[in-house]
Amino acid sequence: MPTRFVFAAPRLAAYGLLLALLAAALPAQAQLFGGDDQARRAIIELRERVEANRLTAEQANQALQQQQTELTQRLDEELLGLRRNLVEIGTQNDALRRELAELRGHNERLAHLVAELQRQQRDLQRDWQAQLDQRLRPLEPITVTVEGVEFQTRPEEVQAFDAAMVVLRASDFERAARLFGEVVAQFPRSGYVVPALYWQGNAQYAARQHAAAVETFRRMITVSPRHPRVPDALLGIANAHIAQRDNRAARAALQELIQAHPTTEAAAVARERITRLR
Amino acid sequence: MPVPPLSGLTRRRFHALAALGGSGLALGAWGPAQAQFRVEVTGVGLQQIPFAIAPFRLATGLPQDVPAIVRANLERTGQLRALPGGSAILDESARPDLAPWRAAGVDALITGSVERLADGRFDVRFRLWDVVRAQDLGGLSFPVPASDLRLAAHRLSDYVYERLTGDPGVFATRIAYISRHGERHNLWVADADGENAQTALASAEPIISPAWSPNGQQLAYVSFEARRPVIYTHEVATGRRRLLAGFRGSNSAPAWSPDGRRLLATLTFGGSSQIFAIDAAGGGQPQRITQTSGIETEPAFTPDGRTVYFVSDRGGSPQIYRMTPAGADVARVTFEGNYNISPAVSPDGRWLAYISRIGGAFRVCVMELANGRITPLTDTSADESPSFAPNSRLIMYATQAQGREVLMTTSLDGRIKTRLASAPGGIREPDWGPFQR
Repeated sequence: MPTRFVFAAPRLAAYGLLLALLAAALPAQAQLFGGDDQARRAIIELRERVEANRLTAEQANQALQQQQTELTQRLDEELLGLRRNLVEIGTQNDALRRELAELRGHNERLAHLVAELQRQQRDLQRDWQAQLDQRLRPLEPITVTVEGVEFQTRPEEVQAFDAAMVVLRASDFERAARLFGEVVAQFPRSGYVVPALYWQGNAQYAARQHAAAVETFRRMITVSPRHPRVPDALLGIANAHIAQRDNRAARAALQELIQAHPTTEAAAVARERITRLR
Repeated sequence: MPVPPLSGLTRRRFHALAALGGSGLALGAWGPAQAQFRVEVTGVGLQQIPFAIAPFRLATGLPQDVPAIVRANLERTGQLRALPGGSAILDESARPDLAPWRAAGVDALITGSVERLADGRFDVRFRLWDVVRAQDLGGLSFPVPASDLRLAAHRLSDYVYERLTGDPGVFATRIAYISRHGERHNLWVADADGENAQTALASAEPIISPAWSPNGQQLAYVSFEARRPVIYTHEVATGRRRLLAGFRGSNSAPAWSPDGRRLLATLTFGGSSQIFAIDAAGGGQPQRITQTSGIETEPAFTPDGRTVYFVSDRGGSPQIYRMTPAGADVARVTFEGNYNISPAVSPDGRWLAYISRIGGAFRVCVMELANGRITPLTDTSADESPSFAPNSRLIMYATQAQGREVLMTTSLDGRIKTRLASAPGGIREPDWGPFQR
């Protein structure tokens, strides 16, 4: 134990003091060798002094020894305590390490869970967006070109008009006329109003509803006098009048067509038809 | 300071320690084949290609039944189904009428011959027919010494398998495994079908963790012959071996880098188990890769060499993590259950096989690395040491069946399993070698 050597040092120092005293006494003895009594007294005195010194040194030594024993005892006790503490710290360290590992594991799982949740959220968001897009699509305006005219419309209008066209193509003229009429009534501000009126007129003509056809074609021309289908509508009016054997009215419609739209294909048909009306 | 216990891992990994005792060590002697395997296929694939092998024109006195080996190989994959090959001999030059074969439901027909050459060697020839399309799918000729007839049969099987399935065959590859019979421990090298086993090392002390080098010429393994685990590298052709890691403490779990230049291994130096890098050529100080107070072990490289999967208990239970080969960017990989060990990455880099404790049973699981999807592949309870076939289509592993230690293979969907039942004593610790070029 290194500590013992530290506490041995004061004892060595005490011996050193004694030796020094002895060394100082020796030359005096030699000098006083001449007179017997004097010398004896001197020797006795010297002995007494040495004895006294010895006793003093011994006492000092004993005190030191006792002090040292006490110190050693205290130190041993403290060491024992420290050792106990160290064991405890070691145990605590193990526990902390285990706890740290558990926390690390917990943290790893949480991080994994967060990543997983983020991924799920991204997926959900993507799915939701896709669903929303799908639902919104019917509500969004779309651009169509019908009878040479481009306009914005909504999917339900397209659907209603196309449904009427399908019926018309199937030669169910009465129903087609009714459906086109519904388009006009249902979507009065739609771009489909003019083409619906045009095809309603045609359907009515085919269904031999001649008066209604004339009325529908006229309405269409009033709504959109510059529509590319106007010449055909005028031709339709003339045809309806002819079917009603009203040649005068038919001729008037044909002349209106020839004058207003002289370069059209319909005008060429009208010129030919006028000659036949005579 | 005491190391926190990782009882399961350590016990299972090193349970061979219990058998310490005896002495003696036979080196590199290519002993006679002792472990004869019997192949059992369980499970059925959804789509099996029906094939037939017509009787070959065979020389007399052949030591190996080449067509039988081919048939067993192809059947063992579970992807092909053998139909009767008829009685008429058809060799590779025959132009068979395919109509009757088609009528019998045969999709692919193999014809061929084994002829004795003037120099005493044998010429194995064959031709593969696509019966459905009436197409000649080609053939090859293997002039080989009698000792390589099995190899020729395997190469023939590889050709047929690749033409029919599109995947390279693994019949000509080799496997390594450990057997223990009483106090005899053997390191074996066998054909992929388990036949033709040769002992590479016999020892009175346990041998564990064999690992093929990327070029298939060396095995690294852990031997207890010095009464403590040390790692050797072992040249298979010559039996020459070298002490790779015999450091203070325990040396275990060697794993080759794909370039074969270095190995990762678990060393303790008397402290906790940590992963170190060791130069394969030997010499130099091991370089420490992991820095934890826990247990870090079982490193496994990805085929591109950029990632290392390993096992750590840093999170309180043994789990699989990944990191760079330098130990950076550590991330946990397994989260299901509290016990996942023995990672193995497929050669195509798509799959991670490992052992997971599921309800008290240790089972081979496979994780698809792209999406983390996990599939348990077995219903056994003591699976160990999964290892991928070089074509990434099968996993070989050790397990216990009817109280015996056996090796099995499974397809990656767990549907088709084959059992390579061994001779007496246990066999375990399989490692499937690379393609032989």
